[in-house]
Amino acid sequence: MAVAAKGLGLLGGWGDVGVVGGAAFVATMFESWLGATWQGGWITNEVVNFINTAVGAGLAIAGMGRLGQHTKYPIVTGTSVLGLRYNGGVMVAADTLCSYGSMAKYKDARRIRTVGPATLLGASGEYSDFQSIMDMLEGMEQQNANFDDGHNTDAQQTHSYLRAVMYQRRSKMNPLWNDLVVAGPNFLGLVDKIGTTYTDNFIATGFGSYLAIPILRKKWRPDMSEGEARGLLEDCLKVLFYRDCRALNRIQIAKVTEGEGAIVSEPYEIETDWSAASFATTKGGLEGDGGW
Amino acid sequence: GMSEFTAAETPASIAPPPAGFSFENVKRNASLASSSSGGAYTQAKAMKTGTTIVGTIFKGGVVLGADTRATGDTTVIVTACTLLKRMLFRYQGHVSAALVLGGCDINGPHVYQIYPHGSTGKLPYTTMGSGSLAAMSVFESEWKEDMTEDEAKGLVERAISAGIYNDLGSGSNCDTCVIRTDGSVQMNRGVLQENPVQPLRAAIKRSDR
Repeated sequence: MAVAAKGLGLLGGWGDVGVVGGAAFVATMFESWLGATWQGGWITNEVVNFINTAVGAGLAIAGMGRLGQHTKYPIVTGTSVLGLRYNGGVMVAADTLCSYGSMAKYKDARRIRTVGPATLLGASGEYSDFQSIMDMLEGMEQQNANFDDGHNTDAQQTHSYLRAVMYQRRSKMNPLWNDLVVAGPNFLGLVDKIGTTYTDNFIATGFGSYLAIPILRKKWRPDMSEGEARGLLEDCLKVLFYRDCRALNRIQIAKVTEGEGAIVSEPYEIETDWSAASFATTKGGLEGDGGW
Repeated sequence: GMSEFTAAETPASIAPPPAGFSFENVKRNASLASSSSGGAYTQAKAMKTGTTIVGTIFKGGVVLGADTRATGDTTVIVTACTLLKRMLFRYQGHVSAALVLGGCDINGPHVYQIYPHGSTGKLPYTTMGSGSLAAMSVFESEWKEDMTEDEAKGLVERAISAGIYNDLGSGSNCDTCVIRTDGSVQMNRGVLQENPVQPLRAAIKRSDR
């Protein structure tokens, strides 16, 4: 029955099958003993069967709790990832911070990586899940290399594959907690933690959806040069650093083009301006900033 | 005639209500919601409206802006920041008003943000509402010190537009208000009319036409 349940998708993996099967076995053993010893009088056969089922269910629930945990919340997290198409290719940008709750713990985290020669993958959300996804994809790259038949996985195929992975994990109530940006020389798409996908001329995850998308909708053009595209992404990341508490002004910009394939820049700092006198000095003779 | 049906003075339902909150329906609502009314009536929840509101100082005053979807009443209540925050604090956040307060006094132009629980911030520019991030992204890209009135008005209009087009809780058109240090006030209702409602209303086929 446990194997059938796994086949129907009710159980996640073979570990869950073991838990359920084991719980059922213990429960039936207990029922045998109970029936042989105590059955009679008010403890009828129906009562004994009920106790068997209840014991089995209780053990299975306890077993699943202690042996097979499901993702409840992310721990080490990256914030927004931005992507945009320009005249010649696609660019992806992100800062190099991974936060540990409200602590800015890892300031040199690489949240954009190349997958094969011509695909970029940027991730926000749980960093360990991104690492797990990279392991998965690098395994596929190795298989491609081993086949050595001239076929490689392109960005659109990687996007579709990740969609399947993310949706399957979501269906088992144990998601990979990421929003992913996939880019190729002529492709830009997003896959989120529940397996939603879309492609567009520009993409943003996390706070970028609220702070960067309005700017991109105003300023993006299909014929932007590489320099203009980079400037626009830097402007967006600057605004994100001003207003997103989990952002950093140390960033990476990556591009993928037909001619050069996928390249990720070294991290660098962007300039921010905190000099406005109106922020420093308040008028009206009030102490502090006039607020409390 | 029947004197009980002729009102000697304006009925209370038409005259403007006195200041403050009216609690005349509390008893009625409670009895309707109770089991003695047959359980058919479920009380409607208070509506939260999204909005985009912004304010910025410039060299000669302040400019305030708002989208028109949340604007209902046209009265503009001008009260000092302290009175507002004290009142909001007393209501412990149950008065769900997030405000941008702007004005000029002897010390120059000022903009405050006031939150429903009564906390305040004094800033050169601020945004509030569900569209505040869209509007703030415009401010953070383009705000500078000592703007002229036209520059400030243009910036406010662009910030409200960002809220109108990118936030689902904001929409329609933009109102602005300029309050100058010389004491003059200019209310611009519908300064941006990019989403006119009249053609949409005219297109509805009504059965009585």
